[in-house]
Amino acid sequence: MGISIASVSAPTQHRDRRWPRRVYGAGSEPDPRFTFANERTFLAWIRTGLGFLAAGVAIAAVAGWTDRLGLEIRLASAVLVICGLACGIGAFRRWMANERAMRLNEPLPSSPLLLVVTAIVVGVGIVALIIVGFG
Amino acid sequence: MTFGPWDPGLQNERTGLAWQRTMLAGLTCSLLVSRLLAPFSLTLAVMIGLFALLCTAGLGYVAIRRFRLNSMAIHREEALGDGKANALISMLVVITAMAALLYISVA
Repeated sequence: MGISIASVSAPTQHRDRRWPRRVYGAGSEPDPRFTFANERTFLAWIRTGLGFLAAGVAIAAVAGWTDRLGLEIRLASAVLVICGLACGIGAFRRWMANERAMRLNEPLPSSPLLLVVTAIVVGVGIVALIIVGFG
Repeated sequence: MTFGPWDPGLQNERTGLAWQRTMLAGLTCSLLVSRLLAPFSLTLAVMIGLFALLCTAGLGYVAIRRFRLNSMAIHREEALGDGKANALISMLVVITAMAALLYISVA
């Protein structure tokens, strides 16, 4: 038995005051499963961001045990923390865009965040490998 | 009332558990930053630690409330919760990142 978005749409009986209006002011209620899935994806991005933050701080802390932090360590830490920051902000932006698209029954939008974050992780990894190998 | 070929409770429960995992990750990360800041400024470290504990308690309350409201909304076939909690948790990540950048700059 198939299930369509329209079949489980649940229009509210009273005025919808949910925030942000950019999301909830458009379209109709999607299938609750998709809304929950979108929320879990948002939370997964938040956890990824927290992982970046922890990694950035840990690199600086471990390097600081033996010596004063060099420029490359500070740079690597800052890049990872900025990645975490981007994940935190990007998570919310993606959640909004996806929820809005689902409400309007449009295709989910793409985002450069995944590509940028992957590229930065690979970049930091390569630099770390060079430092460990030749430093 | 028909829900279709899925159990409405499990979707909400999975999302509730995702909130709990995120809260734990946030608390761990904040306390790590707080601990690492301690040698540089004990006051700042204690403030960040207390702030993290308060935020986790607040988010725990928000997550439980959200779970209950969503559960009722599903069974009454009403609309689910909004994005305020999402904005709050994003803001906390931004604050933690600022503290982390501060640590990296003074370490």
